[in-house]
Amino acid sequence: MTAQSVAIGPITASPGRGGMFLGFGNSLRKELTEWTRGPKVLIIAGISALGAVFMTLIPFIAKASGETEAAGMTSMDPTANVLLVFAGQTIAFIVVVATMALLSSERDRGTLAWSLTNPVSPTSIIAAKYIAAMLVITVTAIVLPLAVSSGVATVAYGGLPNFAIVGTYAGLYLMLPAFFVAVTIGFGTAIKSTAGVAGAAFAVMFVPQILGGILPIVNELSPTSIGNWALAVAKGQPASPLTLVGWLVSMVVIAVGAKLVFDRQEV
Amino acid sequence: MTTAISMTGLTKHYKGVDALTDLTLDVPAGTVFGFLGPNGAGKTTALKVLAGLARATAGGATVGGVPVSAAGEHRRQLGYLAQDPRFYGWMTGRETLRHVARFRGVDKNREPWIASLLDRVGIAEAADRRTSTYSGGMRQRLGIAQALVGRPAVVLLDEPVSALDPIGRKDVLDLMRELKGETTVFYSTHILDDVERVSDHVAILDHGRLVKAAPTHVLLGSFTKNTLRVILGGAIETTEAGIRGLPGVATVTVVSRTGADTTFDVTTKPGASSDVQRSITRFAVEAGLTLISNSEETLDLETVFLRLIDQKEVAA
Repeated sequence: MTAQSVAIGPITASPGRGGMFLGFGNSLRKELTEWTRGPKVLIIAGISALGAVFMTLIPFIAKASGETEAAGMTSMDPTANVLLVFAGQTIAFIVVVATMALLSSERDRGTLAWSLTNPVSPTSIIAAKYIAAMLVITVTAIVLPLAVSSGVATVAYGGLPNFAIVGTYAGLYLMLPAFFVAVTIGFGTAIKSTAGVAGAAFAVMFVPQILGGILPIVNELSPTSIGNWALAVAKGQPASPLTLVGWLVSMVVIAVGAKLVFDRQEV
Repeated sequence: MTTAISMTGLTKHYKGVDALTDLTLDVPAGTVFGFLGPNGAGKTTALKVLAGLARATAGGATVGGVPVSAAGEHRRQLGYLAQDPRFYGWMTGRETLRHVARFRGVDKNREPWIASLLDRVGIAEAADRRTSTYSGGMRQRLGIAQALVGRPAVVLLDEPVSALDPIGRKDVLDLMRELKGETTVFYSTHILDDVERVSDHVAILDHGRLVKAAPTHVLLGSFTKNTLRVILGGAIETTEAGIRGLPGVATVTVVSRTGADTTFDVTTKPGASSDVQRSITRFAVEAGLTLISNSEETLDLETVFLRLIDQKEVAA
């Protein structure tokens, strides 16, 4: 400490918005900054873009190698191949891995307790984490791969994809990462270890699929089926409203549960 | 005098542990208030409850008149330094203060204010380094700066000097002294010497219960030894007997003789100190002696603390 004595003030302090979202804006700014300064954004973007190129080109490669029938993917339609980008569980897996430590790492490092000594509500902290993660994932794991895929499909299949269908799919497909980000943050409010959060989230990912093999209604009701539901809606195919209801109910339950648990938490 | 912090029946029980029991305490505004107690006394628990990091099992508290709650509204009124402060390692020290300043709505003059705080706590040169590179002492200094950045009505400091080297400890204690009157400093410590040096009020906690709370000088004054230290110039052989004959005097001991000055320890009967002091003054005048000192000996805080708290428990 120097010998200089600087008087405290004068400064102008303007109290921000209070209530449930006290300190939300600054929490969101911090979360976005943390995402952009770390390597995760580049990793997610890289994996997503590479995956998009590969998935879009599967029919093209299969045709070039003369194995289209074996591959079972004979469509040379650009739109159909862009819609293949999110096939499988890749996005859900990326989301879980990218967000499973959002709360537990802060708890371990002691920064969660420090944050909560500032004028910020617990709700603001988890809401900011959720929104920042969704913004990052939307750009890096949804918009970027679709843009890359559209470009690749245009070149490989000789025409522009139908952007109305692709856009509808992208918008609706966001509900899948929205669900899994909610799952990891929701579990993170109650489970202290990163491994525990990851285990619980992967259970949510796979258990409904297993149960759905026995009871098909589980597949319809499970929020993890929302990706398939989005694809069906985008293509104009029949889609069960039960899936949307299951997703909505799950999101409300997770949001309310996470708030109740996190508000009562002692750090 | 207005109250900065008010705790009423504050109780915190963990499973099988009564960390805090029925703590009722008012902290006057503008004071440096030492919260003293042995390890495990409940000091950190009380501070965590005040910061809203732990919820009281019973009772309540207000900070700057705002009720303490998990929602965090009361935290507009306070700055908090944890015992082992942790910050985002990817932020620099300056960014850390900027982050806190935004939470606290510090808009105008923010940058010069942050620069002045960094300078004041002695980490201006490291301001643009990531906090992941900071030593424990530097984190402690940054912690103090971030507690002050919103110019809060109350600053809660949990063991603010425990991680510091002697120079850092002196700096922080000096800073706390400077803050007197500017804000209310409520800090926990088990270092008695620090409390005696900087606190104008002190509360002693043991096993989660308040043992004593008072202005520091009153607390120390209430535990006298019933002994006067008297230094007389020109004392002769019969002076000792003369003092012994004064009403209220129990014993007289010659401590030392230096040149013409003789030092006596005069033990008084309980409650008679003031009368004996006056009698000695009169005695010295009548005997033609030079009265150099005639003061009551007080106990240091350590002795008071040990008297108030079972020594076996402290040792444990």
